[in-house]
Order: sequence, then C-alpha cells, then structure tokens
Amino acid sequence: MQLISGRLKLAGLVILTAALTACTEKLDSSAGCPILCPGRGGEIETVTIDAVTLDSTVSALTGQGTEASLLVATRGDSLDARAILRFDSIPGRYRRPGADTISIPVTTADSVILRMRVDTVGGKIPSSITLDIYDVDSNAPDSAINEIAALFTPGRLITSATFAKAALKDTILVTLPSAAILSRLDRRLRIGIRARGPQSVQLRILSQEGAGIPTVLSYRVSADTTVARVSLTPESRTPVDQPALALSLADYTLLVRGTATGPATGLNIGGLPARRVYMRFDIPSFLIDSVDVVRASLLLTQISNPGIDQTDTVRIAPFVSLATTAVVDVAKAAQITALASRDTLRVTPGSSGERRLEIASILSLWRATNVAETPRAIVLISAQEGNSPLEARFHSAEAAPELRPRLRISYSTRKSSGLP
Amino acid sequence: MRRIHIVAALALAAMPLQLFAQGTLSTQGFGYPTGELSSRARATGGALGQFDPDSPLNPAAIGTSVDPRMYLQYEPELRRLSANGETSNAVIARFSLASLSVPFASRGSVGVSAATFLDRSAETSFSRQQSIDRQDVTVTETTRTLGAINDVRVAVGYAASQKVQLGFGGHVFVGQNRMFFTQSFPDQPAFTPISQVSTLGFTGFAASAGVLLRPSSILGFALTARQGFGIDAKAGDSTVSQADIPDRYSAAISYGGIPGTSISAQVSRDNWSSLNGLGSADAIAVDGWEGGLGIEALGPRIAARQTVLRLGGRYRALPFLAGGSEVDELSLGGGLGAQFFRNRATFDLSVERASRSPELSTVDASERAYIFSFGLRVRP
Repeated sequence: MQLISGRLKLAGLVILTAALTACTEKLDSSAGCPILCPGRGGEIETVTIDAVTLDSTVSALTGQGTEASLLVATRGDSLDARAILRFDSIPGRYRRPGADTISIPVTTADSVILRMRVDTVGGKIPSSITLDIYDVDSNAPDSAINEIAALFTPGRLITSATFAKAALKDTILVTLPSAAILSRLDRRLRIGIRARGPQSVQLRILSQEGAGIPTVLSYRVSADTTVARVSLTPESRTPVDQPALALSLADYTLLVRGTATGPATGLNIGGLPARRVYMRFDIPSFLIDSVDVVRASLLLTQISNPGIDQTDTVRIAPFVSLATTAVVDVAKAAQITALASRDTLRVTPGSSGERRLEIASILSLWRATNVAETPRAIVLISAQEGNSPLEARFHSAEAAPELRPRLRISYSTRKSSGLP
Repeated sequence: MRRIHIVAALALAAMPLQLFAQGTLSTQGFGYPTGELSSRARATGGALGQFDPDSPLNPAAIGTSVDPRMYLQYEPELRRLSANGETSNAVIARFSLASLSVPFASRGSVGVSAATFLDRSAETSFSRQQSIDRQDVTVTETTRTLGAINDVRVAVGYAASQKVQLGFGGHVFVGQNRMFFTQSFPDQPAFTPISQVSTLGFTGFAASAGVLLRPSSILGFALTARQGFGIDAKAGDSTVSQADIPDRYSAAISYGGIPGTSISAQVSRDNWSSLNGLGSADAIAVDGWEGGLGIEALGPRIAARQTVLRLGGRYRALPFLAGGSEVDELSLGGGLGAQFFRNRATFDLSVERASRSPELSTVDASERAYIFSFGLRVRP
C-alpha cells in the first residue's frame, strides 16, 4: 500500500507540474501548413495610376539661421556661401576670483582663439584651405545679403588661417589678434568667414542649432592665471523684439551666390537656396479605405542636372503634408510637414531615368484623415536641405504621360470574415 | 432594415472572402469538440457522461442531486502535431466546464451549466513566395484564432421514481471567434505588413431531453437526445452565415454488479453536418459516431480518504474534414477522485492520451495530445 501511495504522489506531482506548465497558452501549429491551411492570404493586385493633381517646386523657407550647419563654399561662378558668427556683447570689464567685487577694465586680450567644429562630409576639400576672418559688423539687416557680402573687404580682414586637409578634423582653432577684441569692448563683434583654396572649397561649420556649443571665442584678460579665460558663444541681441529670430541669427549662412535651378516646369529638390516639391494626390477611395496596401511607390522620372557635383549623392525623403485646406498657398503648405516614411530616394544629380520612392506608410496615414479637411499631399525634401548645393530634378505632372509622376500601388484583395 | 440587409449582403458578396483552416487536425472548421465531459466522465472514456450530473449531456442526470452543487473544471491540453516531417507543440488552456444545480421539491433539481462546445484556439505561421508587382517576395503569414462556441444549458431533472429519472434542457450556444491575421515582408520599408482582425459572434439554440432507467440496483440505462435549432454567425450587426446546431442522440449502459465497481459504455451519434453553411465551403462537417467504455472502482485509501479510480477509452469521429479527409480520435485515459472537507468537496483529475489521424493516407499528418482535466465539485 505504501508503494501505491508513493506512486500516486509522484503521479500527482507530475500532473500538477503539467497543469501549471499549461497555464501559458502556446498555440503554434505551423507544422500543419500548408496541408491543413489551404487558401490563405489572397492575391496581391497592382495598379499604376496618374494620381498627381498638383505638383510644384517651392522654396524651403527654412528661415535664416535655422540651419544645422553653416555652409562655407567658394566654387567659382557656381556657388559662394559664407558664415556669419555674432558675438553681440564683448565684455569691457572683468572681476578677479574671490571676494573682491570690484570690476576691472579690460585692457589686454591675449591668446584670442576662435574654436569651431567643422564637418567635411560631402564637402570639397583641396590639399589646403584658408579661412579668411572678416569684421562684418554693420547696421545692415541680416536679410540684406549684398550689403553684408560687401563687407568682406581687405580693409576688414581680421586674420587668415590656413589648414592642411589632414588638419580639418572635427575641431579647428583660429587665433585672432588682440585688437579684434580690444577694439570691440562693450560693443559687438560680428565675424564673417570665407574659405578659399587652390581649387574649389566647400565645408560646413556646425551651428548653434546643430550641436551643443560648437563655436567658442575665448581669450585671456589678465596675465594672472587665476583669472579664468573669457569664453563667449555666438549671441545675437537683434532683432530686440523677436527673441526667437535673434537666437537663430547668432550664426547663419550668408548665401552670396546660389546654385542654378532647373526649369520651372520641372520638380527641383535641393540646391541653394533650398527648394522642395509639393505633390497633391487624388487616389481612388477604395485604395485608401477598403484594401490593405502592401506597397505604394511614387514613380518619378529624373532629369539630368548638368550643374555642380553631378556624381555626388542626394537623398530625398518623403514627408506628409499636414496642411489643411485652410492653407491655400502650396509654398506654405509645403512647410507644414511630418516625416512619415522610412524610405529615402538616393540619386546622383547628373543621372536620369525612372526612380522609385516608397510611400505606403503615408497612405496608411491618409486612411485616418479626412481628405475634405486635409488634402492628400506629400513634400519631397532633400536630406541635406540648406546645407548642400546638390539638386535633383524630375519631370512634373505636365510632362508626357510616360514621364510624369505616377503612383504604383500593390494591395491585398484579402478580406477576412473570420469564417473557417 | 430590409434594405440594410440587402446592402450588407451585396457588400459581403462583393468582397473576395479568404477563408482559413486552423492548421491542425483537431481544430478544423469551428474547432475541436471537447465533448462537454466532466473530469470524472472523461476518465471513463465518456461512458459515464450520460449518468454524470456534472456533464451537461443528459438533463435527467441532475435529478439525483439532493444537495446544491457547484462544479468547475480546468482542462489544459498538450498537443503535438506532426505533418510533412515537421512537428509543432502547442499548449491550450481551457476552462471547459462550469455548472450549478439546486434541488427543488424532493425529487427534482434545476441546473445551469456552461461548457465549451467547439474550441477554435490555434495559431499558424508559414512563409511562401508571392509575386508582387512582378517581383517575387517572401511573405510570412501568421493566423491566430481565439475563442469558442459555448453551450449554456438550463436543465430540469426529476426522479419520477427510484427507477425512472427524466430531464429536459434548453441550450443557448454563444461565443466568439477572433481571428488575427498578419502578412509580413522581409523587405522593409518597400513593403508594408498587413494586419487584419475579424470577430465572429455566435448565437444558436437547442433543446434536449433525457431519461435514466434503473430496472435493478446493478443496471442503469440512459437515453439522451438533443434537437438543434438555428445558429447565426455575426460580424458586428451583420449576419454572416446561418446553420443549425447538430442533433445528438446517445445511449449508455452502466453495470454495477461487481461490488465497488461500475462498468459503463456509451454510444452517440452527432449530426455535425447541420453546421455546414455556417462556415465556408471549405469547412465541411460530417456526421459521426462516438463510442466509449469505462470502469470506475473504489481505489486505495490515501491519507484516510477513500479514492476512486477510473479507466476508459473513447473512439469518435471529429466533426470537420481536414485536407478533405475525416479525422478519427482514439482516447485512452484514467483518473482519480477523492473527497475532502467532510465529503463536501470532491476533486477529480484525469489524464487522457488522444491520438488523431486522418482516414485518408494522402493527408500526411497526425496528432497526439495529452488532456489533463481537473474538476472541483462543491456541495455548500
């Protein structure tokens, strides 16, 4: 009897363990497929439609000074871009460390160093480059490009610094003369930077918007090493009544000469000043509301751009336009966007032919929006918008049928009723 | 209202419906029939089911209850499916049965029960090649189906005499099947995965009647019939399909001539084909027989408690064709029962090994399952 009791306890333990294990469902029965799983996912249909009802190249309107990096380029007749750094308050007095509260007038400025962070990716760097630093302080508004560009004169040259190509790694230091500070005490110092070299030069300097504190102007005001160096970051105090704009204007790109753009009848993306493309669609409602879209490709026909850097790569990302019908100006509607697709179209400006951009995720978003309130539109934007002269050009909806933008949509015909 | 129905019907007809099986032998169609057996009856191959007040099969069986009683059952299944040289292991957790009965007058009881009628829980995932926009793409499809059709019964049992018990039951078949379907593609972001969820709700009706005859103290007979009425499958407010609850006829015999032992046998016929039309044309139900034989005997006393041991076997045809073939199930099992708390609570457990195989050898698939059943009966 004891033997039976022991076996029963063991059996009970096994059963209890099995029961506890079975508390978590695991329903996989995939081994039965396809024999026991006939007729599953349904067919995938594909349609190609001329769905673009409106397309237009518009200005990026990115706002002066909002760029993540400052383009400095000297490329002959093709491109001339310079950087402006503002230090709108050069302190005229300093204090010694400790309890002494008496401020002392600044009379010396030693070891004046302008530290900047550079990005040479996608740039044009010859064997060496020279950065010419100018005093460009004036009362001209920042939007007065020509007036400010005219300040880059030999008489206003503060200093020049030459760097070998290998030295242009992340951070560069430019030594400024003491006079550049001492002549601006209790006033403002506005620096203009222009690059030159044995060949075309193009690089980027990180801006306040693109990095933490990329640019610092520092100097010593005393031989006493207990007195800390004065460190200044770019700062604009004008316009006084627009603090957000003033923040952006602490540093900005001065585009003296932009790149040539494509024909007005085409779709031009990128370039300087930056351009983007707004496209509005009329898609049969069943493709939005009634079927599951597996793939949606925007087919574009590229036009070769004979301009600069034909073989460099420009990346184009599709954004969904969030502008409602209240925004009637497409240039403004093209600024109200959200990233909604992970796909990026990579093209070289000089190439041509059919290109394909995946926008299925944008169609999914449109399912949740009312077309009467929010037009179905996308905006094609260069990933390097405002920082690169590269411009990709495409045929618009006004082109011949085989060249104009089209939408190719693959969708599932499957409709589950839940019936076995 | 009529116009709405017409529009709904046209819309459904216009939709290219894609239909699904569940990837196993046992859960084809609307799912696996649990048998609506208590742990005690399951351990005897279902042979005691017609006599067992906890199994909602024969409404006459509850007439023997002299006390209020409540019963709960948990029934996990460990299933192993082999097909095409591959194997899938699944664990299905079911709370398959709950019942309550209270006596009235001195010879009758009224009871209500809820039991899993057809359990459709299953999941499959497999990959195939699909041509999309003139490009061959690997598509991975995953289908997960959850839910069941449940049998809710209200029954009255009455002992007309010591030799005759009668019972009548009204059944409402309710439940829900939720299907989650996804299609995914390896090439992201070019392709966007598809996700579809569909829900079916069921409402059906049936009536049953049964009798227990005890011509002598050692012999008992049971006869039961269930008449099925309509069942609707609805998606939201729209009726998707209609059919009838299957009729069921069964008979059982119990012999207690050996002291401390009861030997039982049962046979039943389920007209599953009346469910045809509730699903698609691919979900074909066929009528089938079921037979079971079992023995229940006093076991050893363990910890001063009298135990009951049970053994049994059952053979039946499952309702839905798999790959065009009928599927048969042979179950062999046993179990144990013991009382606690001054015999006011009874705990039953059973273990059943079920083998399921298609009748056609062209369907290369087989299933083995261990079904554990735990039943707790309380007499407050």
